[in-house]
Amino acid sequence: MQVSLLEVRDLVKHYPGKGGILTGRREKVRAVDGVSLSIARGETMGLVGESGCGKSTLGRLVVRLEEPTAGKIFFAGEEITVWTGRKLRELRRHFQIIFQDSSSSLNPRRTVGAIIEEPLANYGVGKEERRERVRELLTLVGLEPGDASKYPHEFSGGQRQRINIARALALQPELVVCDEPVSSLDVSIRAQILNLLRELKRRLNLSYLFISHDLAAVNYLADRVAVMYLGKIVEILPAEGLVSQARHPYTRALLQAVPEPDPRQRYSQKPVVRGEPPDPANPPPGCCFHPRCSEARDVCRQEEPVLKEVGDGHLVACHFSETCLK
Amino acid sequence: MSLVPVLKVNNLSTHFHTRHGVIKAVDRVSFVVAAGKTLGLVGESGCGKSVTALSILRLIEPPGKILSGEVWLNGYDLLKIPSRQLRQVRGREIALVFQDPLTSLNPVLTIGTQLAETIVSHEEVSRAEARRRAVELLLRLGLPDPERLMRLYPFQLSGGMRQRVMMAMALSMRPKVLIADEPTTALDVTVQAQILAELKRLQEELGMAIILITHDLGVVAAMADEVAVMYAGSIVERGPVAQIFDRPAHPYTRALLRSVPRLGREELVPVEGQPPSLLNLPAHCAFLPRCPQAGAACWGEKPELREIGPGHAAACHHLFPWAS
Amino acid sequence: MSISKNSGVGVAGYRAAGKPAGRAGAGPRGLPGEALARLWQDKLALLGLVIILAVVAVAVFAPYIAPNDPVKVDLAQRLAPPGAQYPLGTDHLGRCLLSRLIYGARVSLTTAALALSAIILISIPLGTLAGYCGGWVDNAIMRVVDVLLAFPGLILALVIAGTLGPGLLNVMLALSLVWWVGYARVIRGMVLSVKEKEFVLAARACGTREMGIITRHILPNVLSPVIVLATLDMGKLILAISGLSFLGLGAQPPTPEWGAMLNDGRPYLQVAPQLMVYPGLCIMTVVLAFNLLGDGLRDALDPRGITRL
Repeated sequence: MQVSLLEVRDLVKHYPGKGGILTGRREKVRAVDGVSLSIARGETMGLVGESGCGKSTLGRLVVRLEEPTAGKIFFAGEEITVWTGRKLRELRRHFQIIFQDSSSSLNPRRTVGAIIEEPLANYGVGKEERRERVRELLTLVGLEPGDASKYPHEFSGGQRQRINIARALALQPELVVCDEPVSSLDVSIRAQILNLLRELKRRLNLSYLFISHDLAAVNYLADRVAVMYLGKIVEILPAEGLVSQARHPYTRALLQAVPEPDPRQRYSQKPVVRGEPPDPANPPPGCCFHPRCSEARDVCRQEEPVLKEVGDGHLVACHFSETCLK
Repeated sequence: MSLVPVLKVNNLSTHFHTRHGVIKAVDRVSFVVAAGKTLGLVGESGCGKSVTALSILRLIEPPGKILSGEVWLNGYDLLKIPSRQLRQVRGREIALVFQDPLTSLNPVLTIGTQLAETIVSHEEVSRAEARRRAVELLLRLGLPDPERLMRLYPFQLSGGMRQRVMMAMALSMRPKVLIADEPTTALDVTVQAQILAELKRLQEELGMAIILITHDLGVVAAMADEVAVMYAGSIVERGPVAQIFDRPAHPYTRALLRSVPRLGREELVPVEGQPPSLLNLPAHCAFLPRCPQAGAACWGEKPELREIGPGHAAACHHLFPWAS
Repeated sequence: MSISKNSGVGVAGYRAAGKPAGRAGAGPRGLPGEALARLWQDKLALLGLVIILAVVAVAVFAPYIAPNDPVKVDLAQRLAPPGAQYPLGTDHLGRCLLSRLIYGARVSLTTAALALSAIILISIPLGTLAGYCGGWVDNAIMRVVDVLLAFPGLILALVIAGTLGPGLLNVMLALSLVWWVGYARVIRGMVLSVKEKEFVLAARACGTREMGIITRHILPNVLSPVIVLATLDMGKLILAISGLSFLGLGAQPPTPEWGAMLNDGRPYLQVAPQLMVYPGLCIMTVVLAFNLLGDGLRDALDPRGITRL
């Protein structure tokens, strides 16, 4: 069996809470609360969830921009959780990250060429070779080689995102974490970037951790989809089966809530999920989703469900995963 | 079923004169909104839909200027009535809800105070009565425990709750028209579903017309009865929602529909090129650089909106029956 | 600056729209070019710049422009009115007023510039360290800043200068020691906000070392407010130096310095008001020029269109 490219086991990230103005208590924010998943080489793992679920934090943990509170991270079979210094720097060549806001991820005072060649310069690539590589990368992402001398503000949002992608690919990484890469782009541009990412994955045999709140966009690119809620993974399943085979009540609620561009599928019934997205500093006991779940029973309030395999590559964390499928 | 037109916008144009040139943010836009119906105003960022909403209420400040057009409400042209009368209209007959309620709500006043103030400023009621009405409104918008909520400050509420409070403020006067500018864009999809469902319910109760401004085609499909698609300051296609989605006639609408990810994982066909700058727009069709059907005629005059079906109009030189 | 879905269009419900735009505005010249273009359009700032350049030219070419030796005493011609030999007349010791004004430009500008350089050299490392490292380093530096800020600046400078003894060098020292704290605070604030930006995270993710992040990413983005502050402060420093010299602590006779000249002219206000008026006018003009330029720079370097930091 092939060793997966990336694996995280029971990954936890807690932030010390700030005392509320009214309560004065310091509660921990459990951004990531025991996540385990793996990504194979050449696979796109989609990570979906709403605000506060911890998906962005998970993305940053994976590329070691944040330090985990507990748990382990494995890359190509080796445990890298506590690597630092030169080993970590060497490791960074293998995974990169693209951020959501295309403008704040580019230094407004540097030219595009300088931005893209920075990773290369960090690892000792010579000047001429850097120039050449920057030209290659710009062409790869659909920009002009001459754009290297321009500044980020001269480009549109979609083009800036291409620059971000070019920089991420400079060191030829194997894994790219995409943190909401198209959410802040115009609707007509999103498809361009999504298709670009797909094309690049094929050409360069990349693996992606594709993080988004947009279920449809994630589903488009992903091979498998992981659904996150309140710092935990509640379901992982193959992307083709997302619509038809989702079992966890939250996944089903998400699917039902996503408005499809099809007037025939208007909201004909009340939304399945009640209530507000939860506060990560104050998670409910038992199953983290139970206060909003229409199927919640007593056991849900008391015991936290574990991720269990219910089918081929399909895991669900629900006490009633067998019976939930209607 | 008869349609009662409530708001009629005719040839509205708003331009901004800047140091770099003229920005034709809104260029001869016309549409009608009927009571109890929702008009979805769709377009991407910078296409002029927000400016249209602000122009309707004459909320444009220099260097922007409403150049021409009429906005008919109740037999009055809102662009011509005196300011005093307009102030009566704003908030009462036409209410406006924005995307980011955090900046629209006063952070140093409690929710209850702001709601009560809104009611008191428009109607002759006592504070106590205003607060009672506010509580009722919050209940109707699906907010649990409204009494407690009234004592909280905006920063203590979640985004979804703040948006509901904004809607409560907007609806407190039972307006004839509600203009909602990207009301759920910043919210989680489950919260969005709840709020849109509540909005629809309230619309039925109040018989209110809604202009829903959004870039999200899914939201449009879910809420709108009529759709107007805007591109570079003009409406390029307008029609009943079923027609727009099933038989889109304008190349931009068609391209947009093909490029939006759907849960079924259909292949996406991106729209080529970049959204245009509204600065110094050319005289020809604004979509020309990105249009897969561009022809010689497109370099001439900008196409006008032409009827191509019952209630369905599009502005394109190459309209042909959409063959599925 | 488009009304994208990420920017709120209204404030407090009913505020009207600002200027919407497509991708308008930024030109192909890059950030410095764009800033210069803006500055060029600001007539008042240009006026300030022209005045400053003129004063600098006067200071540089002082030996060629000044009609007489500024320190040469001519007791026979004390308090003389303007004439052929002494275009603006003489002071109470018969020294040429115009020449003293011209050389005074040198003194004022050099002293202020040197003090400013010292201020920036002290404050940038300290402010950056405080903002970037946080923790006890930040605390330590900021406590020093807080203590120093508790004292009224000029008084503290007075005390230091008084203790060190009179002289321009000591005045420079005193002002530097007092003034750096304001800059350090501003720089620290900017560093705090910049270091959370995603391009800093991206740099870290692609292997840039911490020092590289500071020099390549943090500092260049912190520089604009520092430049603006520095330009505005040149005026204030010149005033401070003049003030201290006026009090006898700065320039010592026979060094020509506008503030000292003000002090010298005081007893003769009735008889020869020009001894105070001209130096006063010089101070005022130069300070005003720096203020105009500083305001213009602030608008040019950081309008909402360019650096949306």
